[in-house]
Amino acid sequence: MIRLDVTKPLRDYDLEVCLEIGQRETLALVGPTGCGKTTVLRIIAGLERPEQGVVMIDGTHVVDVGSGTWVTPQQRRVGMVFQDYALFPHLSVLRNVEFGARARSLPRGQARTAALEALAAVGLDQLADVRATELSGGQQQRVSLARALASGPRALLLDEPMSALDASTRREVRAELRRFLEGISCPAIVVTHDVVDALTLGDRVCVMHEGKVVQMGDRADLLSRPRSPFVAEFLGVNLISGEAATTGEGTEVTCGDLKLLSADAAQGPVQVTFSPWDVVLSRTRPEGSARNVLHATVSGITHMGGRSRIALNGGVSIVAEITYGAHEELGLGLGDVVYAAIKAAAIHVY
Amino acid sequence: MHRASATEMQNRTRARTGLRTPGDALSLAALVLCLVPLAFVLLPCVSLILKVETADVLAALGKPSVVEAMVLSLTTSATATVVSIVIGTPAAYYLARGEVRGKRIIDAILNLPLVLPPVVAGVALLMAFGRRGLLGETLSGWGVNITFTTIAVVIAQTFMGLPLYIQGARTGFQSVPRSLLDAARTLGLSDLKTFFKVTVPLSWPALVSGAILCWGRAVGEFGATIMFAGNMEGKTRTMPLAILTAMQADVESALVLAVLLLSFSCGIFVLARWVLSGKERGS
Repeated sequence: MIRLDVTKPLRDYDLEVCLEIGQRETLALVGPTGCGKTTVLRIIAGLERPEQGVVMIDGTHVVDVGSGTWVTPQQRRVGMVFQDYALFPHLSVLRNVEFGARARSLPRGQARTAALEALAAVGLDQLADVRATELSGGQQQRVSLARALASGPRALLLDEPMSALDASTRREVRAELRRFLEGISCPAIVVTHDVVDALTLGDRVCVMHEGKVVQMGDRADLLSRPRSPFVAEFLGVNLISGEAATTGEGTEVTCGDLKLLSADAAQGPVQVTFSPWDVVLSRTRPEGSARNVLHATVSGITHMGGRSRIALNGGVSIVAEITYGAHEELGLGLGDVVYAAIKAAAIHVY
Repeated sequence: MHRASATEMQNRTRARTGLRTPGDALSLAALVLCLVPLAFVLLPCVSLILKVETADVLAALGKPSVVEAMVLSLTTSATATVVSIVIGTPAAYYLARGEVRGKRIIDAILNLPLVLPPVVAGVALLMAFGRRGLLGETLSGWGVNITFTTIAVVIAQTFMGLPLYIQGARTGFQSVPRSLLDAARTLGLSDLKTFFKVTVPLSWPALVSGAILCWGRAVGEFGATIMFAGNMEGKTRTMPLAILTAMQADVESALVLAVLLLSFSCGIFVLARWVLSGKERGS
């Protein structure tokens, strides 16, 4: 378990964060670049000092500014995966991971065994003798995870783990990482500026803005009840779970009563995302296929600038964003029943 | 706008590839422009080599005074390089990583020997370590005299070579990504272990080339040595000093010595370039 309550002045504002992460929980820390989320990780790892406050790991203080407690990063046993993965380029994959195992002051033989086990856990035992720099981005991420894992960490911290990957591999790596995080037994924090990464990787999501936590909750909570226009605008996305099957017309994803058609290839349990502004509302059933249409009740209305954000519930919860003019024209109020059509091209399957 | 910048890009690409095509007007111009400084550097070196017969070089290698000067040059310069590494490495690391005030001033002072005329450096060293020098007075009180000894040669050479090693090492240390050091710390490695297992292996080429440049400078050191250590055969007469001495009596052997020193310096230079290019290929 990790608990922290710290403050630290950053360049443009003060960082003020209070968080608690449970033993088998993954928290996604999401926010725009420069909101202080990486600093939170570095404070937990001991790479930076807070100005005030405490950090606790497994019930013991690693930082307590008040009493002067300071545990060095070497003694914290916190595994960290860096944005650039920070693999030692002069060493083989195995030697990199052994570094982690040796950190537990295991004798050489045991360290090797532990390293090989960790590599096997991420499916890279075949590449043990390859130089770390010769791997693809996704593989480097896995080595970095294995190295952190081999050190027997009490907490795992991941700093922008997806940002070094190109778009084509992100989807696959994200699913792998999700499975990995579900399998580990220590608390994990994933820092990201990507909303989809945060929503898919985190059990809970914490949105940060200018050094402060603006909202924290599970996915459904955040998406349907954004507490501020910033959160709504920042999240800006619908995300629902479903089951994908391949049909003649493309991929059909069943999410409760809603059937969605997408051009993305996928199979089995998936996550579907689409932007609120790709949802078209109407009072009458749109013509054509019944797919990509949800018959739903208006459960919330938020006004943001010239646009209205309308939360809908029809078995699954989604959010639509329409112009204020369109909203007036439809005359929508809470409890009204509408048809929400989602453009097929806007639907992405993960 | 886009169209314009695209054309510009194309032109630039053309210019760049043009330089590589032999016979192209641009590449010819580039060659001509390089020719003058190239000739300026090569002419004296070639002239020197042409003046000397291979037989004379071999004969000189049999003379005890020549051998003595060579051995002295090699041992003193090697010692100076080792001393530079020992005292320069921590300073270079501090300059590369430290975030303390006064860094720029320290950096400027450590680079001073690069712009200081060697003769002035020699006089300054005399004023510090000489019999009536600032530190020398105390030392001679203990019966230690440095001036006009082989140790003085090493001190003079270290003084002149140290900045080159520090510069090289500093560049090397700076090239190690911060995240690697952070990773090592979170993995439980002490700072000292991190230094030897991560920093040194990754900055190795820069450390080696810095040491080689320092060595080259030490071998060629003349002004500071003659002022501070004197010109005593077998004790402080290194190769450059031996050349000056021979020049006054026996021009032939001075030329031979010069050729030997030239080939030695060239060897060091090529070695340094090779180590550095190896680094580029590796990354």
